[in-house]
Amino acid sequence: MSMLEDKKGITPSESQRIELRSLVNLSCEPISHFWPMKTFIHHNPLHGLEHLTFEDAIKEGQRFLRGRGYLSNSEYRKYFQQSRISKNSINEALKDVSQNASISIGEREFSHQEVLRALLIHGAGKVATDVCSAILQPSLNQPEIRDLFEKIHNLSKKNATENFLKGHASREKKDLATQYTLAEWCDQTFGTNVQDQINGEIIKWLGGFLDEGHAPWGMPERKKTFYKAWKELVLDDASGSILGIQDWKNKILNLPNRPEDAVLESLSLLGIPKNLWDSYFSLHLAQLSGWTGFIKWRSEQTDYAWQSAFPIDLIKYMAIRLFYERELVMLACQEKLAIPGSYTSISQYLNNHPTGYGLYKEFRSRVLPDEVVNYLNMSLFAQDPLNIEDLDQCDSRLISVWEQTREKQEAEGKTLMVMHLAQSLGVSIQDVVKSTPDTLSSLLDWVEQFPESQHGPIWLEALESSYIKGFAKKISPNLEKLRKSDEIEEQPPESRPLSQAIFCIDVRSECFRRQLEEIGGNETFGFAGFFGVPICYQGFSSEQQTDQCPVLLKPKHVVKEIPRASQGKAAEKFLEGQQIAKTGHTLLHDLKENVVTPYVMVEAIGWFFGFKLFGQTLHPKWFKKAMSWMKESLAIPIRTTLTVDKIQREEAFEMVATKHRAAIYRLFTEKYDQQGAAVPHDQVERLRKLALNQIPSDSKENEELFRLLKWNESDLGQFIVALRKDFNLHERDLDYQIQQITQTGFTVSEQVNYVETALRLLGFTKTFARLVLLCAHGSISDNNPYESALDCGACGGNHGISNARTLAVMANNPQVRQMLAERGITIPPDAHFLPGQHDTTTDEVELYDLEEVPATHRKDLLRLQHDLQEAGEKNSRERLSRFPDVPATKEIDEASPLTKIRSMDWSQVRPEWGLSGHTAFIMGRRSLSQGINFEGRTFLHSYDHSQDPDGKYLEIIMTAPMIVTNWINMEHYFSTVDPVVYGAGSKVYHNVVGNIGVMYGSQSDLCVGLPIQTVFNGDKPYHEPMRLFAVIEAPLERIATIVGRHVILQRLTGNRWINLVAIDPDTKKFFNFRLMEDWQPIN
Amino acid sequence: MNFSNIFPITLALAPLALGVVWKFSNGLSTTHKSIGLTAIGALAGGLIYMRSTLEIEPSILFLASAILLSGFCVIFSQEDKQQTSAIYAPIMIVLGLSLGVLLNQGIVSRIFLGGLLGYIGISQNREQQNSFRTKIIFLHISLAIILSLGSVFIGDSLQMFASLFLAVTFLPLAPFHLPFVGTIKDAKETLSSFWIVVWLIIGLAELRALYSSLSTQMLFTLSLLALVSATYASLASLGQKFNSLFVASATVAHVALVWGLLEVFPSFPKWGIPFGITLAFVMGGVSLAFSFVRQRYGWRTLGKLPGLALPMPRFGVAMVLLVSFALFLPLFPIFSGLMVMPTIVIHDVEIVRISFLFLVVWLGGGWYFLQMLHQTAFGEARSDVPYFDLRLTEFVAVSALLLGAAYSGMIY
Repeated sequence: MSMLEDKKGITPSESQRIELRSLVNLSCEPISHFWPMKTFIHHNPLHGLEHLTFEDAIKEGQRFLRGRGYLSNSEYRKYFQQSRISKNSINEALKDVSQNASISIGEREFSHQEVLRALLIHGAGKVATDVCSAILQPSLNQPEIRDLFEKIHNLSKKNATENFLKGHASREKKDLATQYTLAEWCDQTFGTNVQDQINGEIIKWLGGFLDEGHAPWGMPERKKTFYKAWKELVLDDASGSILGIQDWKNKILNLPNRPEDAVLESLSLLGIPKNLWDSYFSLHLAQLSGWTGFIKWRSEQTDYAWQSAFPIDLIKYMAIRLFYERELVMLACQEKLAIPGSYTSISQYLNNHPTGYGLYKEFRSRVLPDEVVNYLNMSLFAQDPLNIEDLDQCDSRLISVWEQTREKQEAEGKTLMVMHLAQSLGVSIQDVVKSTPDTLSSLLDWVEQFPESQHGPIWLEALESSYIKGFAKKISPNLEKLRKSDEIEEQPPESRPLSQAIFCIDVRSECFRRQLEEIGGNETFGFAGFFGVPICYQGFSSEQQTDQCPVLLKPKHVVKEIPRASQGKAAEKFLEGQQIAKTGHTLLHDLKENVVTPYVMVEAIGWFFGFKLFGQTLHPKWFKKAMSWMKESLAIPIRTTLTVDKIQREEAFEMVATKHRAAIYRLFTEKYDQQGAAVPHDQVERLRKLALNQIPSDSKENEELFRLLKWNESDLGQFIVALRKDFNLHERDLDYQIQQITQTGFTVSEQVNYVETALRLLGFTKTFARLVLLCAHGSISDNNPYESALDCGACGGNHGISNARTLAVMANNPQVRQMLAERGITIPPDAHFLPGQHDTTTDEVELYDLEEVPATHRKDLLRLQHDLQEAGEKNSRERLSRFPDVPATKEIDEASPLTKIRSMDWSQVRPEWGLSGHTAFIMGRRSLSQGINFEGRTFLHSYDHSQDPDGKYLEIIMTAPMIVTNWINMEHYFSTVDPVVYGAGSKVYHNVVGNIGVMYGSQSDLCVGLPIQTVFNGDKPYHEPMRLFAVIEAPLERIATIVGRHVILQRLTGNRWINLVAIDPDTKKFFNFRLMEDWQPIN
Repeated sequence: MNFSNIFPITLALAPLALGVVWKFSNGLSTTHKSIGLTAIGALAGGLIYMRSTLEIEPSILFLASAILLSGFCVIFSQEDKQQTSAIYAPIMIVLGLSLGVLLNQGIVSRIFLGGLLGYIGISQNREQQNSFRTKIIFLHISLAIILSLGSVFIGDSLQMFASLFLAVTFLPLAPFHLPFVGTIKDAKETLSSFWIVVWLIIGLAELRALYSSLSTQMLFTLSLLALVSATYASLASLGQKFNSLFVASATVAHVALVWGLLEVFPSFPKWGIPFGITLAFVMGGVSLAFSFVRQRYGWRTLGKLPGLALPMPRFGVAMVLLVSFALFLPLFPIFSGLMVMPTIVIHDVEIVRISFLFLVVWLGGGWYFLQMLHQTAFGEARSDVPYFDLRLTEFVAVSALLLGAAYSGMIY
């Protein structure tokens, strides 16, 4: 029995509140988290519904979020016309829905499947009822059409169903609070905009409360939590009165202090039955799914500074939403129907006045047919409140005339459908007319049972089936080669390539790797962009730390970027310069955001911004060069390294002690000049320990100090206070510093583990080249809130260079190599690991830590740099051919300058395609995919099954990179099929809000998903929405065993969120994973 | 009777006879269309002949040409289907009757006018409605017929009032607008466009004949009535759901400008007739475009079929151009009136009244026309409707009306 009571006036108990909170949180299941845009995370918008099958989840998404789950049928038909979907694939996809039945029309026999295929390919020809008459009218001149219509009309009369007028009320009674909220019901019934009003208010308050430093004036009282802050501030907000809510202020004042109590009160007033609460909450939460997703995410972040400072959660959000709804629904219902705005009163109203209500709905939605207007006083519909009794008692002839009209319209609609179907099947109308009534009836039933809304899953299945067959065919030459090479017992001795490069599995790396390999002498591998090293990274001079790993992981190690030992002075100058720049930036920001100063500032320095405006717009390349030159002249170059090696505790203490001693000496010389400098080291050490309370103060021992500096006890005390206050020389700071230092870095054995895992996972355990490039990736663009989406998802939406540098340091460590050799991986002493970063917008590869490269590798380095440049140029040329704004006929002599301009053009809404267009994720040997042009549509992870007998490494790949790629795939999929609900719409109308996300225009839901420019090429989808094909070259049992061990993999594969395909290493055949132990061969 | 009398009568009777024959015969639609277009061409030739040989006022010829152009556009836009032959007969009949009104004078003109009113009355009566509104319309038309026929035999002052009654009927001024609105509402398919032009043309002709005999006091009363009519019709347009009623109300609102500015700008034929014809063409064009959509989808309610500009780009272009023109309509009479002739002395109160009239029509027109455009051309198109754009002939017909409006409003 539920503990939640809905009686007004009784204060709910704490357990009731807890239960309510749980219910609200559970109801938020269909809404996925929304991460702040600073680190864009690709995620499945229906992540909370992954426990359902893909199809069912889409239906739920449609119910709550009103989102479409498939492309429009016309789009799929275009694919069919372009032969991207084959007829065989359609037949296969239809197998599950077709019956073993057939009908005869004329001299031909048509199976159920044939009819369904015709419906799929040509459409059902269904036309809206209100336009059927006019569309059919011209054809009624033809006698056969007239006969057909008569025949269908007679059939319809026989199959006539319930009074359709009353159907409105019964349908809406059922759907109220399960398919839509009371506010939505008001809008669709009365034409009000209650929902927009609620959303408008909510967005206004959320935008202010959730702001993370974007607004110059922050919302006050945020510390009191969202509900209380709103309750306090809304008293001064006139919007309630403007919306027409009576006695606004008193209602606010009378609201309970606890948000849970406010929710219960609103639910009681709205009269929502307890058994409908969860779906009702879901409906409400889904109204602004972006904001809800962000609140959901933020409420779960216990260590998020903004959440700690200004708490918000779903229950507080719900309390405010329901308050607005109850008031506005009450207003609308009173005005329009003269009933209280509650579930019970509305249901009763629908129950008591089905005919009148049906008339009213028909009038509002379709307008009355001419035939019935004569029987009705039209002014009845315009009255407020609606005089429903008069409508109920309308002329009985009206109902029958209306029914007849409706029947006729439906028959007309069916006639149009049959005409269309006849054309699709290639039969004449005469043959259809001559067919038996049963045949015609069956045909109509088949059409009804397969409406266009159900075509999506079939099309998707067919598209995927066509794709994977084509994919298998594409790879088959390589498979042949592999079969032959695997059969050779004695493998030829392997020679060292000129260089080796490990890239991210990203689709953009696929083309670059291909270009690099084609130059010759280079071998490439694919690995997750964080290189298997999850770190929390802090850049030099930055105060923020970023998690450089997939969001599934939580890094335990901190790595900081510090100046190299010889760069001490340069580092100090650098920091000073940074401080000045920061001060200047803050000053400029304050001047701009102040109320008065902008007026003066515009006059004084506005021209300077004009330089930026015109430069950026008219000549971005030149402007960028000029800015780079300025930065280079002013900036102090710093060579840095990373704190990869863990510092032992003893050393850490010594480091801190040295810092303390230096501080003491500084204070001495400040106060006592040379006298202070002459204090012996042991006394300094004593002072240090005294300040840290590590030793008790002893007058005898202090004498030496007193003598040297002419001190007394009081002077000593003051000095120690000064040390503690000005130099943080106290216990707490010591502990903090020790913790910071010892947290940083990895022990040698940890380093060995990471390097070994990485190399074994790749199957890269021998034949190391002299230079091994660890190539991370990132993207540079201008004026792009979605910049983070183009960066490395495996690195938490950041550039991956820090991970590459970390692994490089580890792999170059002689101690690590020694231990690796003991474990069977011998890295030659002349093999050097070099970190680099591929800019996916410009195809430039920047190499880092070049100081570490041995002098003997100078020529290797030069060759590698040359090859990278050439590969970059070729890759840019290939990529440019895919941009719609680059003329196809233009001969591209130099592609790099063009891609560079795209990265610096602030008007460019599409600096690169990013991950758009991806379809598959191959986990296998490079020889499987080498030389094949996948057009940048495939993730590639190197994996050698022969070096992984127990599947340990495959398990890592399947439970981490494969999950991440599934998220990426689902994000792209849903952003393409519904750019408005699941995607972020057009970038052109985006406005950044609160530093957390973007809105459409001045006020809207937070835009989730990807913008339309990322996945669409004009009005055509660029990204082909298909579920990811995870293609694994490994024994089937090994894969199945891994799936069986992980619930998440079972869900993803069993519920068809991902297509798992295996290439049997022995037979080299493709198999599709359906259920456990059920592998279906792909022909 | 001499040639100068017979020829205009013949010119009017020819299409009338053709229309009557078509009414009671079943011919092929293509044949009717060809003959109809040829007949209009011949009529146009006849008008040119009349201009050169007979002394006929240029404004009358202009008015007659406007009717011919409208008839031509409506016939030209018809699809070659059997049922559209029902359109041709009424067009020819009305064309004949209206030419008879315009090209003749005295009793002959009145007989044709009576005939036209009788035809309107019969059409009204044919619709099954037995409402109070229909009864009022029927009474109005009956009175108009009596006054039309009887005006020849009554004295000058009574004749003036009779002509005024006919003028406010055909250049509709509330509360005398009911027959006009009723006719437009009940007109079949594309006939509504033709009726709008015919009504206004006849009204302009009546006012042209009547204008010089209107006293200052009468002009003042008419301008007050115009203000009320403009306000009422503008508000009615805002709330209209049906496209035919919307166009009718918008026409009444804009026609009020003619009546309102009579007091200010003398020489009505110089500014009033071009403006009236422009107005007729613009509203006729909007009505024609709506009727094409109605023919396709049976739709006559504004907002039920939004987003037409995307699936029907020709329609979208035509509608946008027509609405843009309509938005600037109120400026034309002011502009042409100010440019063409000196004004009489205007008192302060009159300036306020006229300014208010202008603003009501202009701002009101801006509001409801843009609202209509938003409901019709813009928004999201319904996915459950198969759209067919305007055929070339339809687009040409609407464009011709638009060009005619441009010529009349800006060049003539």
